[in-house]
Amino acid sequence: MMIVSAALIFSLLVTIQAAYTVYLMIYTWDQPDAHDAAAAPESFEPPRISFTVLLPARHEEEVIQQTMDRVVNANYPAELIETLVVCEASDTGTIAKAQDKIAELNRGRNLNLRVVAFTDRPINKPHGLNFGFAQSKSDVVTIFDAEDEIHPEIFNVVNTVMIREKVRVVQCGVQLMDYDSSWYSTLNVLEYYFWFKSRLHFHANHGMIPLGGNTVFFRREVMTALGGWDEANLTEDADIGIRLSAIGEKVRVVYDDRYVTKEETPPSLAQFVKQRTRWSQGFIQTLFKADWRNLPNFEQKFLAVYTLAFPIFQAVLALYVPVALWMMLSIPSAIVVAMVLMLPLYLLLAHYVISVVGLYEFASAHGLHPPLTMSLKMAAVYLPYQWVLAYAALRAMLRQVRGVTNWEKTKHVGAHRVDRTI
Amino acid sequence: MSESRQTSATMATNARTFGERARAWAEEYGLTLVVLVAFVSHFVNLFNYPLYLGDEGIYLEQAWAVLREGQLAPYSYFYDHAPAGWLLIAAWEFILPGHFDAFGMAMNSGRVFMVILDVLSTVLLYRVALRFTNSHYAAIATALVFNLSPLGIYYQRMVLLDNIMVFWMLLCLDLLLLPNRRLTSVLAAGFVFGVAILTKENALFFAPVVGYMLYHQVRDTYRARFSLVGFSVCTMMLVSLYPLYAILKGELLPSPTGAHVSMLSTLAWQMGRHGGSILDPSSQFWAFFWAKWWQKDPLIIVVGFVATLVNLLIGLGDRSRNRNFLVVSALSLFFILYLARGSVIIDFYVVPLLPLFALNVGLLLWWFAQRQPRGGAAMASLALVALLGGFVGLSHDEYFVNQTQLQFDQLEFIRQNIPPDAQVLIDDDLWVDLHEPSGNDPVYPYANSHWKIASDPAIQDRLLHNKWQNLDYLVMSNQLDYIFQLNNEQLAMDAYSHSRVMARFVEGDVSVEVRQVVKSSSSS
Repeated sequence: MMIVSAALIFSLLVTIQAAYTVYLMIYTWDQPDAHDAAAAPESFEPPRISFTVLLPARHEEEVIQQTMDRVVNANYPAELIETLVVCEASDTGTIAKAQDKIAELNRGRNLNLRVVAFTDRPINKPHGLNFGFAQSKSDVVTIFDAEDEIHPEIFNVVNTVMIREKVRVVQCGVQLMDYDSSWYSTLNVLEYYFWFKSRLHFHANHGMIPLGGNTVFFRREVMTALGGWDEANLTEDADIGIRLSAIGEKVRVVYDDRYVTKEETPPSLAQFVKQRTRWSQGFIQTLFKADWRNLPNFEQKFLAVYTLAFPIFQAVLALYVPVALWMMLSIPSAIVVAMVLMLPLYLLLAHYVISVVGLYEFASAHGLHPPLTMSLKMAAVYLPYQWVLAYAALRAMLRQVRGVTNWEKTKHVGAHRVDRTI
Repeated sequence: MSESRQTSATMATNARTFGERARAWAEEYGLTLVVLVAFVSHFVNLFNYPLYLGDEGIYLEQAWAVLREGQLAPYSYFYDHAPAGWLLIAAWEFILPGHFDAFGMAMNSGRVFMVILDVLSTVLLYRVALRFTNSHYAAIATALVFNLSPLGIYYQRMVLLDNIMVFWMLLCLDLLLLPNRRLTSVLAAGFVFGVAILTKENALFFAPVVGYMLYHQVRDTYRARFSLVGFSVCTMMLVSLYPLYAILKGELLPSPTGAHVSMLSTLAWQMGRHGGSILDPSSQFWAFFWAKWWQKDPLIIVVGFVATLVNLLIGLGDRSRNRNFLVVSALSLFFILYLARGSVIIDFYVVPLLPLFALNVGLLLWWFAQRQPRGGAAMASLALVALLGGFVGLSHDEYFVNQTQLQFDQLEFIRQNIPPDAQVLIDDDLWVDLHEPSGNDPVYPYANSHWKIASDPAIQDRLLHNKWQNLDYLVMSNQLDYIFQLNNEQLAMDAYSHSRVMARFVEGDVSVEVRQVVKSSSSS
């Protein structure tokens, strides 16, 4: 009897939690205002704002040059863009590649483009960002990752939004593209899609937003007031979002399919697990750091805790599926009880269906044509994918408990670019 | 000369202000008016007319079983209908102070709930008509036709799953027509459509039209995919609870030995039943048509059907401009198709057609008023008044006849003359009254429905050992002996032919009896 009641309560809680998550996925389709507001402007203001682009890079010999090309060739006056490739001094390979590229790009032009190298510890992204920021001069500072494929009009978009809407922080959409490159890539691509297309708008409208790691733009005075990035945090991006929200800074989210920054999924399952472990652990760190306590109201605090603790929920949820099936079949109980125990599975099904619809939304926005069998493939890999996420979340918890907080970097090979040339 | 011109100008101003004032009045009080009409037309004489029907009794006794026994039916539930309807009735009885006894005879508590549902359905129908036409006049006309047709009043007072299903269907349409462009409205509509199907499966016949309507609403928007898939998935998820229940009980698949009931066998059995199609003049459809519907109210049948056809033509004439006409007409036509396709029907299956006929009439009157700028509105109003006058002229029994007094007297007679431990064959109309403990009245645990005596092994074999001699009394509803023959209920017929009348209660052409079975030997 005790077991049955506990299972019932647990099942209902999981159902409510899952329903909430599912709602966040479809938020932007539910709220016409949010949907309309997410779009980029249709006309641009004349360029006025100057930008510093921070390109933190570590062992990115393969992709750094293309990314520099992209930044330099953006459709925005060169004199308004300063680009800093931020490296650790011993990473000579990347530095050499970057220097070569600078020499090549500067031929006949005088670009504001240089490598800055730090020698002190820790060797991680937030430290690099702080180092780069200290040497930057422009009105607005932004971050691109070495493997990013940025849109040429991105600076015009942000220039216009900042001038027209008088906002000081803008997060633009980031989108994984290689939906058909591995068994986990489809669902990984869709996670990004729903996160940026839908969920971030919910966060922004409620004044509690974990930012993305790149294509995010800060007015320099905002970053100065915040005192830079937290170098002890594995997800400095989420952390800075919470701190921004705590001081009540409005964040404008632009997700317009036309202007997203394109990225790739991690090249191997091991890399994928490492990346996800880092994110999960970073969220847990941010949760325990408890800057969210400074958020103005209860709803925001709740949303922050819910978001940051999500890896933990995720672990529990994925483990719940076999347990639920086992309980249904083996614990003799009233039919109604068995039906309540089934509810979380219904939500799982809803989540899957939304993902399939999302795939076709994503595909049509980018002119892609996934075969109809793709939804079957997604069904086949759906639970394994959840289990991988759960595994990464468990791994993150374990690392956090054991005090292991080093940065397991994700490798980039430029899969999305290869895809495009084929 | 100038004076007369001035007068006509003043008259024009007066006419305009009259029109404007009437419009403002309709906007302000239209809904209140129709709610009052709905309540009065259904509540007056509610407990007296019509006669408590056996089918009403079945739904009420199943709600009773939910509350009192924690089961879906007092006998073994064999998936004849999905249970959402009587689960709702059970919820109502649960919150009602006094439960089944709140309003005298048990059926009255259910009938009060039907009136509440009718009032809510009226509000929804008003809103739906308003969204289709943007005219409060059209909405008022629709709601009045819905509530004054004697055929409607007759059935809408009865405790029928169809009335509950109509409420959910109208709620589904209302949610789909909300102008807020939100996805959650569409998802909610999907869930509600699922509830409608779980209340009465024939709601499925509306699916193509609802799908068509939704498709044209969202097709050019960013939420098209999520709306269409979301609606379908929400409906399917809810409906899937029904087979899930059967699976968990181990009653989905047929039992090879016939040891248990099975959802799929019942489904197959129902699919295979034939009542004769509309093409066959001796079919059930035409039998009910002439004996029940036409006799009660030929007006709504003719006007509703003609309006449906004219609206179809208007809709097909200019599909993009008059899509609403097409939708409303198609809703009607698809349900007529359901009634006419030749499966088994019962007279009250016509219920879901009545709000749709009303909607078609309302839309057509509005169309006519729009089309003739001069006097169109006046003529449409006149037609409406004539129609409503016709309805009132056809209504008499609904407001003045007392039929249920017979059943009340019959119940009193049973309580005074039959011992509580007797084996009694009854119809379902008195089932809850005989089983629900109420004050000092006796309870009859062995009063069983004739349907179950004829077909449920637990009653026929195990309780009565298939012997008519084991029955002590027969409580006969109106024409129950005819039902015995129709369904070849052997045990009941044998008992009936060996019985004598203890009491007979007659009102017009309706009569009910209490009979005692006379056993040849006096060994018992």
